[in-house]
Amino acid sequence: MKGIFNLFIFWLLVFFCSCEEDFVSPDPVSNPVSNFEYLWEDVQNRYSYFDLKSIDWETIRKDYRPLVKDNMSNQELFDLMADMLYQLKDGHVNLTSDFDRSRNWDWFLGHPSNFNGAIVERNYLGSNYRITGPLRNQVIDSVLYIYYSSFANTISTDHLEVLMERASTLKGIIIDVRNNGGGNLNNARLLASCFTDQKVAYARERRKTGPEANDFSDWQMLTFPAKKGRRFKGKVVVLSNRACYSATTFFAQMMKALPNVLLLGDQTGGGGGAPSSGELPNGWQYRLSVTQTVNLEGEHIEMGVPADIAIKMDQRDLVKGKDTLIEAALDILR
Amino acid sequence: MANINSNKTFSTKLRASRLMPLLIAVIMMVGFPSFAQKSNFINISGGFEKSVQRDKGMSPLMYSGSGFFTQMAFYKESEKQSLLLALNFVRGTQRSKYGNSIGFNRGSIRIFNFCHKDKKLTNKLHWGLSTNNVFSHRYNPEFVNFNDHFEYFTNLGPAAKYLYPFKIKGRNLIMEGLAHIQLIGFMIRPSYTSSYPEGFLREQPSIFNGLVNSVKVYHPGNAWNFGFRPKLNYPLKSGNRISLGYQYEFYKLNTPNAVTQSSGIWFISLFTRI
Repeated sequence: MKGIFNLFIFWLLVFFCSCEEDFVSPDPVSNPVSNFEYLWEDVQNRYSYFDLKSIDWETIRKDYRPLVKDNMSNQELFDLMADMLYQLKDGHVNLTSDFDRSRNWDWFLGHPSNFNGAIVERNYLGSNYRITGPLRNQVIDSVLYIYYSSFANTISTDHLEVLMERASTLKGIIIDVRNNGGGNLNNARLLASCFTDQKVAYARERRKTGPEANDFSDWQMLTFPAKKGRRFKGKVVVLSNRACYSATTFFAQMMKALPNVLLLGDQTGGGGGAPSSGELPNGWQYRLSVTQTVNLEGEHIEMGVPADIAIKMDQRDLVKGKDTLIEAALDILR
Repeated sequence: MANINSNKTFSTKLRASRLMPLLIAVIMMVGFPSFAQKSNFINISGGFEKSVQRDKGMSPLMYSGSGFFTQMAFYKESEKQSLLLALNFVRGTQRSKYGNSIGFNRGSIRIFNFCHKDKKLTNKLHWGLSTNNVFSHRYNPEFVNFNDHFEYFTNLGPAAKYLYPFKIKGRNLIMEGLAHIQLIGFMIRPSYTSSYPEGFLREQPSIFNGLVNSVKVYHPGNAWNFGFRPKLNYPLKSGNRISLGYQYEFYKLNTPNAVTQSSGIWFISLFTRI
C-alpha cells in the first residue's frame, strides 16, 4: 500500500510540474493603441534610413497617434498604420494582415515604365527562344539577349554554363532585368559572377545593431566571386528601368563595378536596405529596411543605381513595335 | 564612413575572444571525469514534447506547440561516481494564438556527473555537476528575410539526484528525481536585426572566428537555465530497466532580443546494460 501511495505522490508531482506555459509571461495586451505603439517603436528602433530620407519619426507619431481610437475597426487601424508606414517612402516596408498588404510603390509608379513586355516577347524573343531555367534567351544579330523576370526564380551554375557556351561565339550579351522586382541576392551574385575572372568588390553595407539612431555595425564590403567554369569576357549591356528593385538594384550595382559592362536605360527603383520582419501583438506582420548600402564612392543605392547611358523608350519606336533600349544595346554590341 | 569609434570596443572584444576557447574547453571537460568502470548502460528514449517559446527577435507573441523527442544516452556507474551523457533531439511546430506557425528543431548534449562516495546510491541526495549544450533553431515561413532564428549555449551548474526504491506487489521500483540549474557558460544569438550572429557583421577570416567573436558570457542575471526530471524506473531481471518520466527545462537568454523557452517532455526509455 505504501508503494502505491509513493507512486501516486510521484505522478501528482509530475502533473503539477507539467505546466509549461506558466513559466513564460503572457502575451502583451492587444488593442489599437498597443499595436500602434509597438509598430511605431520597432520602426524607431530598427529602421535604417531616417537620416537619408530626412524623416522625423517623432513628428509622424505626433500626427498619427491622436487618430488611434480604442473602438476603431481592424480595417481602420490597418489603414492608419499603413498610412504611417507610407511616409517611409520605402518599397521594403509593408504591413500584412489577413485582409490586406500595405506598400509604397511610388519608386516605379511615379515614373515611365520604359518597358513593354508584349513587344519584347513578340518582336525580340519570338517563337523559338530558349528557356534556360528562369532565363529566356534568344540570339539577335549575333548578340545573346537574356530576359530575367525575377531574382526570386533560382538560377543554377548549369543554366549559366549553357548560356555562356551559347554566347561564346557571339559579339555580346544583353541582360534585360527591366520589371524585375528583386528576389534572392544569391541569384544576382551568381549571374554577375559570369563576367569576371576575380572576386569583385561592388558596395559596402552596414546594419542596425541596436535601438539608438547611431547603432550601426561597421561598414562591410560586399563582393561577388568569379564563377567557376565558362565565363564571358566580351561586352555586356544590362537594361534597367524604375521597376528594378531590391536584389535587382544590387545586381545593377554589381554589374556597374565590371569594366566590360554598361548599364543602359533608366535608373533602378532602389531598395538598398535589406528588409527584416516583425509581428505585432495582434498577429499582423510587417517588414522594414534594417541595413544601409552604399556604392564604392559612398553614395547610397536606396534610391536606385543610375544608368551609364540614360535612354527612355521612344513613343515612335513603340508604335513601330520596337524597343528603344534593346535597339540601343544592339547598336553598341554589333 | 566606417565607424572608427568602434575600434576600441572591437579590440577589447578580440582580447576577450582569445580567452573564449579556453573557457569553452574548461566547461566542456568538467563533465568528463575519469573513473574506474563498473556498470555501463546504453539508453534509448522516445517521447512527446509540449513547449512554449517567445523570441522577441521574431515576435512579442508566445508560440506554443508540440514535437517528437528522441534521446540516445550512455550511463556509467562506478563505486564513487556516475555519469550520464545524453544526446537529445526534438522536432516540431509551434503556433501563436493567431495561428501563425513556425517550425523548430532543437538538439542538445547533456552531461550529468554525480558523486556518491559512501557507496550508498539510494535514499540519499547526491550532488553533482551538469553541463548543458543546446542548439535551438526556429523557422518562420511567413518572414521574407532572416526567417530563421537560433540560439546556442553551453553552460555548467550544480545538479542533484535522489533515488527512492519501493515495492508494489513484490516488484521493485525506483523513483528518481533529478534537478539542475546552470550558472556559468557562454551563448551565441543572432544579431539585433538579422539571423546571423554579431561576429559576422564584420569581415572574418573564418566561420570559427565569426562564432568566437559572437560569443557572450552566460551568467545568472543575463541568462537562466534550469530543469528537473522525475522518473520511474522498473528494473528487469536481466539487469536492464524500463523508465517512464517527464523532463522539464526552462531557459531565458537576455540578449538584445530576449528568448524564452519552456518545455516539458513525457518519455519512455530503455536502459540496456553493455
